[in-house]
Amino acid sequence: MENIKHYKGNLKVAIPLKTNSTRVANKNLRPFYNEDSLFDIKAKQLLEVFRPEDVYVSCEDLSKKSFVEKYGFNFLHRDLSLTPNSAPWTEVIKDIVTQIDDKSDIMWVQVTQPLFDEFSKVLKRWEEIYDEYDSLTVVQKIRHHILNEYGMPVNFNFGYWHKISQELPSYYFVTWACFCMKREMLNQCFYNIGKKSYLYETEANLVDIDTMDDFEIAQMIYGRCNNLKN
Amino acid sequence: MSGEITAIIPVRGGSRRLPNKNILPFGESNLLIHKIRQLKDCPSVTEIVVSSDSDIMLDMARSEGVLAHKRPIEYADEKTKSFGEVVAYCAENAAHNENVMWAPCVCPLVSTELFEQAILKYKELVLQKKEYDSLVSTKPFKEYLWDEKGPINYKLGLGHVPSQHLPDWQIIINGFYLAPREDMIKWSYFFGHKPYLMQLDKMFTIDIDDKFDFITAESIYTTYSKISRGGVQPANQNNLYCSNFSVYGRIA
Repeated sequence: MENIKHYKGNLKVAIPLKTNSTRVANKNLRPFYNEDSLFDIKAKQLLEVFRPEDVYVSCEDLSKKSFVEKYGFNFLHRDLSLTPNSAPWTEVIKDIVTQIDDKSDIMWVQVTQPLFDEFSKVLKRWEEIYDEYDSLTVVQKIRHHILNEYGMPVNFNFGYWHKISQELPSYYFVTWACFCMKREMLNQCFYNIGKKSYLYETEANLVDIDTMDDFEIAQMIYGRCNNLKN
Repeated sequence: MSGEITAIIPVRGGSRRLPNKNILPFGESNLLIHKIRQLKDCPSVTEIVVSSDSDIMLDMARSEGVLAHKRPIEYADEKTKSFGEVVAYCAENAAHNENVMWAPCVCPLVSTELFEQAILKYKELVLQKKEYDSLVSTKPFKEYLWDEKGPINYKLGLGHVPSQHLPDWQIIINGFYLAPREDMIKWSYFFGHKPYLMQLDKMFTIDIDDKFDFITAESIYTTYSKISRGGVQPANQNNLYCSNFSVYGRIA
């Protein structure tokens, strides 16, 4: 690990874009807000921070190439066998990052969290922590009481030992909105999270889109949050 | 034991993250009144008590025709008394039936229909069959969980699994907690060691803790047509949501 820490170099953005979502048809490319899809929203957020030539979009559908290139992004064709949920995740990552180049650090960005747009903050933090960590993971703090499969408490205790949500210990969930990783670590693990990952805590409003109903509700939430912001 | 149920709606005057959380405008009224009306529509609930340190909230209870229980400030400041002591105090002093349903107003999408289903399940599994000692509302937890040391419910790299293959963990939802009154007092807690976990569809389980939760709850409420003030109903009878409507299961 020691020889990684001197590396300060270019960082490229990888976006895994699937168009064959099973539960919500064309989830990432169908109109989400004012005709913009989840992909369009993410593309515009990233262009505030990155040069388009540093962004790589991996997609199994060749017909989306011109759409991706419209933003000046690079199109990477993904084999159909690497799109189902059952495809080994490390193989998916390997396929994408090895097509980019063999030296750049990678920021991995998923389009499914339209209200997460802290990319410049993440980059700044990444630079600050670069010498100490091999990767950065965007997480959010858990404010709920969790039970395991046996009904036993995971992050609290029953009875007198109960803690209210504000006093729960620090547990986080991985948001999948954004990760960064040094190339040397990436070439060893082909995963989003390294051996020593910095947990970047976000308070961004996150949505959970599994069904068409979730999609419609997320559209409404996004609209309302956007109005509040402006 | 009789099956008479007292519903306690605990509301504090103060709220740390979201000021006046319990009386934020919601639906046709506000969160507290919305919850009172949902419970008034439950045939199985024979007594409804609002327990609060806030006179404004207690007045709202009276104007809705339910009981108002004035809670001393030490049982409402989240400092002087522990949470368990608050539960025991309210069960002892606010409820007059043998069974208590603790029903916070921060889950406005937990509806009359769900309350009724919960009570039915409670009577069967806790009071009659005695297979469980209490009943709690939950929702599935399928997130990749970490603490500062690393992942807790999955493995990195080659051990990575899709989220649907994460273990069947659940999150406790502030929808309802049902237990015999005497036990709540004895445990100083709103459920026992063997709770029946009634898993609700995530759509009903928005638990309002901050502004974003509130926007989410409003969005769901608005999206689905309000057939009755008892709660939300799916607008489209053919959608996925409908097939999951009132799904719950036992995992304990």
